[in-house]
Amino acid sequence: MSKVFRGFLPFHAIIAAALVSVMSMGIAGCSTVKAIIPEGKVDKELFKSRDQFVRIVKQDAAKGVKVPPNEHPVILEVEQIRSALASMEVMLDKQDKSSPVFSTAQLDTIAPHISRGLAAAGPNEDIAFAVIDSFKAVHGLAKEQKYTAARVFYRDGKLNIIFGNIQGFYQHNQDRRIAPLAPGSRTVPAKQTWVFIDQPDQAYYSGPDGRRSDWITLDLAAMEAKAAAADVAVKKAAEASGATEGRFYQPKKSVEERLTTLNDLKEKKLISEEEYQKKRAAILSEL
Amino acid sequence: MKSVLRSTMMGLLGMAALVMTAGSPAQAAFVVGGENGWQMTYDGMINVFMVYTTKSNQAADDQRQSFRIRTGLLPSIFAFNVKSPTINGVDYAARIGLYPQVQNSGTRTGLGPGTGNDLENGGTSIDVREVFFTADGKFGQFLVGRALNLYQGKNILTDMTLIGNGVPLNMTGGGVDLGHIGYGYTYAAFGPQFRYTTPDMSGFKVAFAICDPSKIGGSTTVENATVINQPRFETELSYVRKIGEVNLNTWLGGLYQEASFNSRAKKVNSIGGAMGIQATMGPFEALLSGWGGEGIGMGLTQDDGEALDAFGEERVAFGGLAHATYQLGKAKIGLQYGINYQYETENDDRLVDQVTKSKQALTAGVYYSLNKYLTLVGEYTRAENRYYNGYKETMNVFSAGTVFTW
Repeated sequence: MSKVFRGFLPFHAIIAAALVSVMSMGIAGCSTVKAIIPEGKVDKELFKSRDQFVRIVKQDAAKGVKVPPNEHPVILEVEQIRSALASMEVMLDKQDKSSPVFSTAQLDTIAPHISRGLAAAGPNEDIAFAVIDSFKAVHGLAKEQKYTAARVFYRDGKLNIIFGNIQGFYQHNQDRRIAPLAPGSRTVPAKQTWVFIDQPDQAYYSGPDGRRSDWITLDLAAMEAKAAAADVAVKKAAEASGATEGRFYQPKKSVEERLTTLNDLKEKKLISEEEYQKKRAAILSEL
Repeated sequence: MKSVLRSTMMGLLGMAALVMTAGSPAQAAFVVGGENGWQMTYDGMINVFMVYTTKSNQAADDQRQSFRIRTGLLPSIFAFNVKSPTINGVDYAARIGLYPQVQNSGTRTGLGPGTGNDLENGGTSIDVREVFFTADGKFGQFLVGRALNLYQGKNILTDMTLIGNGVPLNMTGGGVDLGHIGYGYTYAAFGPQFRYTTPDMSGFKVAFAICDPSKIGGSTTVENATVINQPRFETELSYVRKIGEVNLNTWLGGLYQEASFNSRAKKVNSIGGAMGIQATMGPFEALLSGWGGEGIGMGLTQDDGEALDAFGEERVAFGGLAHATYQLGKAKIGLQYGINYQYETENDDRLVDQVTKSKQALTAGVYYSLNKYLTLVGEYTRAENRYYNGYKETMNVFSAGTVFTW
């Protein structure tokens, strides 16, 4: 041992103790993760694949500010959500034409889990997601990965989406604690460089602080009504032409189907007994 | 001794920085496949610098002035990544990273395969620095293979000159340059290991690795501790948290290894600690990192000929790095200071030997992102090496270069 350390033995002990304690924390980490994560931070992981996720999270709020409760749980069909999300278009930074907010693969990934999450979430919970896909790059010579992250909730009869990023630059090897794929926030607007294309039944959210250009509300009922009308028109056109197919929108399911779905959710323990009874009564009241 | 050190550094120095941190150029990671759940991506980087160096009180075999066109702190990179679909909740991935350099070996035709004199003079060569696979799940991550070591890994990844040039390795300009390796931290290097990292626990992660051990380098080849019959252990505790508008990135690391000598029954240790705190708030970023230990050395961790004295006694050294940067539109400007300091042993004190006392450097840099693929870099570095015999050398380094990433 060096002269310096001979006169400074505790140094050795401190380093060794640090090594042992840090390593033991690592070993202990396997079994104590649940205990260390604060309850409610990540309540329900609906989907996880590498950096992609769909999960139920607590509503975000500034300190001392009360956030209006969401109308959760709510049963929205997968196709209903998929159609609504698919209708969104955006003009991204430095692009000369608009593009869909979500790719087909991204819709396939998130729509079922958002539907499941909205049916299982409580009034003080949102659905947060981040989804990745490959997009053309270098004038179409290559593909590069981009991500879209947002927060979804149902309130005032509308599906609200607050975006954290749309087709953002994705680096696969980053520490997600330092560079999280963050969903949008009610309190801090995203520093976005995109503009949504004006679409029927879609609107920017306007709150006390003015219009939020990263927060879109989708009027699903209006969309559904128009889609149903279009469906009827297509059916009529198909009947007139003798065609047997042509439907492009899945109409709302029957009461029986909805009760079955609700029952499935309860059996899978995705919703509580109280939520089940409340929603069951709501469905039956439509009879 | 010097040539041994130089050739050793040639083989090892530089940096891969597979995990690029904020402030580094973005890696696009172009994608092939993915339709069936398996995906291959490739990413990479080429950097080239013009470096002009002046050196005072130079050693006899060094030039007073030097100009080279060469690789900076990082070699160039070409890396392949393979990712599996999620299988029973586990995501598998593999990475092979090739790290070539651009400079000749000091002659017009001396491209060199990286052996013999070419290695010493720093011709082009390819280091296969990364060959590993990972398994990620709710349990955390297992990494197996050759990757950047944990101990002081984050110290180099947060170096402001990571995509720059910093201090030259030597006046002939061979090999990758140092950034602030040896001037604020020691080089973590790449090596084979089995590593486990916990899941994110409210911002905390703990990693520990069983690593392929290294010789503990002495100031003479006779006093290299090369007999190794147990692994090296490295560990790191990291914590990331956002407090208000401030993003904090902190870490604490450690290293332990024993080795002994062929010539006699004597054991020596490498034992070290490291820490760092990085704060980012809007366009501002500040870093303070440090390290200390015995049998670690001054430049290459464990392996730079400074870790042990001429009688095989461990030397004690420590160091630290501090910088502040500001993002001004597309340009990041910054100032960084780093120092490594070494204590003399009793044997050093008795012998009339040139033992390093301190190495310090100050770098001012501008890093301009022309677009997401291309960054222009300009740096000025003043470095000073002091020795216990009163010898001192100073270097002024001007570098300008470009970094292309994909």
